[in-house]
Amino acid sequence: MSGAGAAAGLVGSAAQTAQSQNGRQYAPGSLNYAQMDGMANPRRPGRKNLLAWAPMRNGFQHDSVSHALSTIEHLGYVSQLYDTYIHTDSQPITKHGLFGSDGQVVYGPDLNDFDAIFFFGVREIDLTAEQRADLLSFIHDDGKGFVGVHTATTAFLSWPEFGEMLGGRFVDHPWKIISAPIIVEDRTFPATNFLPPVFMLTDEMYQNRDVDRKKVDVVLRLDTRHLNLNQPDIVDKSGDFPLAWAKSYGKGRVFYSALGHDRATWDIPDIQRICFEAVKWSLGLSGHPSIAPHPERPAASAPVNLAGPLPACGPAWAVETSKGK
Amino acid sequence: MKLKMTMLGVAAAFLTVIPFAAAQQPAAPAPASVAPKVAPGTYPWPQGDPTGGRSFGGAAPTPSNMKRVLIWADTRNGIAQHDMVSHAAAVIEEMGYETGTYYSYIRTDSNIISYHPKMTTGQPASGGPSLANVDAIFFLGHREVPIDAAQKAELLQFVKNGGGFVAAHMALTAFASWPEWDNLLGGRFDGHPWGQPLATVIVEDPDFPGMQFFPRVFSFRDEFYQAKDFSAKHSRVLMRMDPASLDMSARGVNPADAPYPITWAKTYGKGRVFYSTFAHDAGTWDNPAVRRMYFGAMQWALGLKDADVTPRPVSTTVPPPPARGFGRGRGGRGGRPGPGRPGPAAGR
Repeated sequence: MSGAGAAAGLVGSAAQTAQSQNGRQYAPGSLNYAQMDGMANPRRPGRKNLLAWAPMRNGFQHDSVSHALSTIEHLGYVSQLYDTYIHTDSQPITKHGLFGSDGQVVYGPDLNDFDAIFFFGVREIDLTAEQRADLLSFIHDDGKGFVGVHTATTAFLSWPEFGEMLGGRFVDHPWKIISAPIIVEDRTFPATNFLPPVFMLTDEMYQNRDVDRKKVDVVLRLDTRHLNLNQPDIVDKSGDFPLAWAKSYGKGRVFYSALGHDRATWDIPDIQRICFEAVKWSLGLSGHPSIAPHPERPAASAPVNLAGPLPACGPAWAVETSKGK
Repeated sequence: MKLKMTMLGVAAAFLTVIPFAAAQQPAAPAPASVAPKVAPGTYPWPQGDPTGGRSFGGAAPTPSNMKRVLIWADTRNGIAQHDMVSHAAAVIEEMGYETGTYYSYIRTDSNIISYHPKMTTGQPASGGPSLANVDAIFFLGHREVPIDAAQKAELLQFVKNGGGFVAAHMALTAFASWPEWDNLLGGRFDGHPWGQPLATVIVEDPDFPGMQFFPRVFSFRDEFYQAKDFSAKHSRVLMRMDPASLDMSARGVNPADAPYPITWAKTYGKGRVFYSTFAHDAGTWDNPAVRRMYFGAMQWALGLKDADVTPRPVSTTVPPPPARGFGRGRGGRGGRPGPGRPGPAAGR
């Protein structure tokens, strides 16, 4: 760790310049600054390909989506686990070849090339019947991964098979954005095994219906004990509000997390890590092949606060760039 | 905590070293290694500190004057999609977000190229970017981007009215069938006859924001595009290639394309337009000078920094090249995890 050693003497000056702002964990030095002649781009046949798919034309276009996509790309890039292909269009959702709007063949990755999908789509998405069939068989028959976040349960409400694949359907967010405890129901699952038993989060907590605890492993649940369950828009008065779950779909692995309404939520390392580990699990890289459905589990302890984001290196950029002119 | 400090230290090392090393002392010895060692397949998660009773999440306190940028990367048409697009988009997003300079909206569709974007049902779109609410566009599309005549008119209107427009690499190949694109961007794609050469690049205007991170003359390997229909009477050349470093007998080389500009700035109406040929490969988007060049371009295009972009003739003399290739020896290769972007579609 010669880099760390060389850097240690500079900690003081960094602390003076780096301010906690809207920072994501990031340090310029954590990426490649060595290749000043560019082009050092060796192909890594072992690396996975992740489609980060966020079609949102027909629903509320959350401000957080682009930051989430960028964050997912960053995590895969730095960890070398996967290469990300960001799409807000749905052109790559096919196994039958890519074609441009002019009918010409396009050379680019499609469902035959991807190993998993990170999905932040919303509401009704234009897909042909063939694309829908390809999407489901990508997971069900090819055994690929599907990780949906936040608005994912609002997608394709008119398409029952999609809901069956994902394992839940959005019905409103009765309390809007609240600060509430979240119970970690499965502390063995790779995407949640690093979390405290109960943690506090401020987010737009979704109410999802049709989550079948006999089929899915609910890993996160909203602690509703202190929330008003008598509101008319609450479907399940019992207070069981699954926020994240894992399930299988045919040979494929499916994960959903409701967290991530705001940009800044994506700066919380533990929230990033839930998605990163979920992607990793969906890619079959972290074992845990069988899903363990279980009944609602009680909160075991008092909620813990997650660690906040690291100070951003952002102001450093501003300092540097103001030097020149 | 240790990790956090280490990473801050790494940041500090860059703060201290890079601007000067890159701008003034390209041959200066550099720290042996500045990147933290991250084992493949892992990510250096910070270990949490107690947070003093705060609950995280929700909207973060951010500078109220942050600009809004549309990162528009519609590559649905035109043969070959570049593997670097998503990484480039993420880099542009990241720089704006972490500096508190601008928020980004990444779109690979073109529905938002409108003052009134609509859902497929015809109803107004809900939330999200439009030409009415972004301050600049970072464009990474290529070839025939599928927008209709009304969208083209609104795009031109956006820039004419003062919107910024920063375009990279294969943006030069876009809209070949749309004559007014010439006037907006200032040039057209005329191939890359040298493939991916190690070319000598001459910085014509070191005063333009971001240019100061490059030496006046440096060697760089990239897929440099040859631009046609460019006029130094309409655009300020910021960088050009030294023909002496290139095989001018290569097939496709067009002497009419001299002075082989690769980075330029211009105005279009009240709008500020920037183009640079960097960078074909994902890994090159991690180059600090390339990143800072685009960050400077974004600052300029957003009106946060000013520059004189009055067109002027390019220099006739080439300053002597540095003793060593730009940045060679600075940590070598492999200082960082994730050096490249393999993919099912090879970069082109």
